[in-house]
Order: sequence, then C-alpha cells, then structure tokens
Amino acid sequence: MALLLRTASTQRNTWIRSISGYAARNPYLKDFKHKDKVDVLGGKLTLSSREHAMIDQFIRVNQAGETAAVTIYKGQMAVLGGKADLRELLVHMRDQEVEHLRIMDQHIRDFKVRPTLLLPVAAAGGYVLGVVSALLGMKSAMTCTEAVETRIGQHYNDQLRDLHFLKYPELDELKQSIAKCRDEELEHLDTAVDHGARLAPLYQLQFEFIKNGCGVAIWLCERI
Amino acid sequence: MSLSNSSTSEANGKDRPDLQILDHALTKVKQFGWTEKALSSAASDLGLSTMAHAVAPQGGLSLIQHFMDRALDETRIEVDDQLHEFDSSMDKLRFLCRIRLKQTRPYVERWPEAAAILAQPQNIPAALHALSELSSALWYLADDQSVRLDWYAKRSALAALYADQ
Repeated sequence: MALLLRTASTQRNTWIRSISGYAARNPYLKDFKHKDKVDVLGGKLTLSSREHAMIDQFIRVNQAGETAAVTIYKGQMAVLGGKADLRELLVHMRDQEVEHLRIMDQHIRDFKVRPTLLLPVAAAGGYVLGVVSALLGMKSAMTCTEAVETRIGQHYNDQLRDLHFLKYPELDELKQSIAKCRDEELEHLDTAVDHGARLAPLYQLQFEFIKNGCGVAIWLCERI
Repeated sequence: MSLSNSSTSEANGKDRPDLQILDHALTKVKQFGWTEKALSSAASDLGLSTMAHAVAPQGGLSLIQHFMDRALDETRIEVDDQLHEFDSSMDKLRFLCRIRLKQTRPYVERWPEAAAILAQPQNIPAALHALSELSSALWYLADDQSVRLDWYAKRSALAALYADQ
C-alpha cells in the first residue's frame, strides 16, 4: 500500500528530476504548456510553473502546520494551564508558533500560494490533539509535542534540501525563515524531552502514532 | 495556475510560430468564427500549410483559450501603471474587470459562439480552468491580501460573476 501512495521521498525525487530537466511525470503537477512563468515577491522574481508549484506546496503545508501547532498548544493550555510554571512554558511556545504562522501568512502573500482548504480541519484537529494529549497527563502532552516537533523538524529539513536546488538569491529569505522555524521547533522538541516526554506511559505508541498522523496530515495538505 | 508575465505578440518573433498563427487567427475570428477555418486561413496567410491549424489541438477551444490568455496579458500591460491610483482592493478590481471586459470588444459579435463552445460538456473542464485562472489572476492584480478561506470565497465570487454574464 505504501508503494501506491506517493510518499515524501518519491515525490521529492520527482521534484529534483523535474527541476533538473528530466521528463518526470508527477500526477500532482499539471502539464504546463506555453504559459509557464509566475511572478512572485511582488514582481522581483519570476519562477517557472514547476518551481512555483513546489514552493506552493511547501508554503501551503507550512501554514497549515503552524495553524495546527498554535491550536495544539491552546488545547494543552486549556487542560494543563492551572500550574503557573507549565502555563508560562506553554504560553512561550505558543507565542513562538503564532510568530511562525505570521511568517507563513506573509509567504502566502509573497509567493501567491493557494492556502489549503483543510485549514479549519487543521485548527480543530490540533485543538483536539492538544486537549486529548493533555488529559492523558503532563508527560503525555510533552510526548505529543515531542512527536509533532520531530516530524516537523524532518519536514522542514526536507523542504530546505529541496529548496537548495533553487539557486535564486531572492529565495534566501524564504530559506532563512524556514531554517529559523526549524531551529525553534527543534528547541521545543528539546524542551519537551527535558520536561519528561520520554517518561510518559506507552511512550513508544503515543510517539509513533502522533508522528505518523502528522505525516498523513502533511501528505493531505500538500494536495488539498 | 498561470500567473504569467506579459508576453506581447511582438515578443514571440521567429521562435514561436504556433503563437504567431494563433495571434493572426484571432484577427480572422470576425470572418470565420472560432473555428478551424480561422486557423487554417491564418496559417496560409503566414505562408504556412493550411494543415498548420493543428497547432491548436482542439480547434475552436484552443483559439478561445489563446484569446483569454492574450486578454489577460493585455489587461496586465494596460493596468500596470494605473493601479496605484486606486486605494482599496475593490476599486482596483472594478477597474481591472472593466479593462478585461474591453478586451472582448473586437470579438463581441462572435462572443456568444465562444460562450456556447465553452459550455459544451467536453469543454467544461478547460472552461472552468480558464475561469479560475482569470479570477485568481485578477484578484492577485488587485492586491489581494487574504490568506485563509476568504481566498477561495473571493475567487468563487468573481468567477460566478464572470460565468453568469
């Protein structure tokens, strides 16, 4: 079944092949004929349709991911917000995610990206995930954070690896902002581990379940 | 979606004979309608074989799509220096729609035929794609700042407006 679904790695190979000029067939890219240029960054940069399609997918998923991250922390705060020090920690992480979302919204405007139709689903799903993981205890909430941040760190690294093939200097700001978001997400990962993520009951199960759930969400948001 | 930069007819000199034929065929539409005949006549005018109508694989539909591409390009060129005079997104959009509508003026007698061709069942996917592309391009030109689901609402509303005309 996994072979039938286009996993991140096979799709990545397709991006690389198509951008380096090979005749790759990707069902998620339309056939572009003579109309194949897109002006982004307010006209400062012109991308080919394939390049724009790749950036379009990346930023769409990032916006959905940051929306979900904000609501996950909101959900966790709703349940665990009683104790002052934990509340302060969650508020700090949520504020960083809100800033990431603001950055991604600006990229959506700059690069003429179509937002995902699943935005409300991402928001609601994130809240439910935050609440449920927090109801299972503080350590489980930290496990949830650890799993999500692990998957997101991997996701941002994949994007940076693919964006590296686009050598335009105008894209440096995009690459830097994704790198900054990735660094802060990995910081959250470390914070979660420090606060006892790995000591949660049924840690392996929770971790893998949430991590793979994030993978499915990323796959869906790339396409819808 | 095509949000392409302006590519005027003059710029497609020697290396794009297909676009040359399509552009010339647009001048024949008044006489022959949105048909293969317009394309063949344009091809023979340019000194090519009349079989060159096949550069437009779907005949009338391709010619109509080419017209819509050109109309959008011309709209972009024309409004390039005037958009900053308007304050709000809505004012810009109103101006853009008016300019875009003016592009149909040379073909106004034959436009109902084009609408009929676009409404044929086999052409509906292409027609919807062209409509969504137009709607999105006009909103982007009108400095649309939406980033959530209102992105879709705005484009659907403009597309509905065009489809009902």
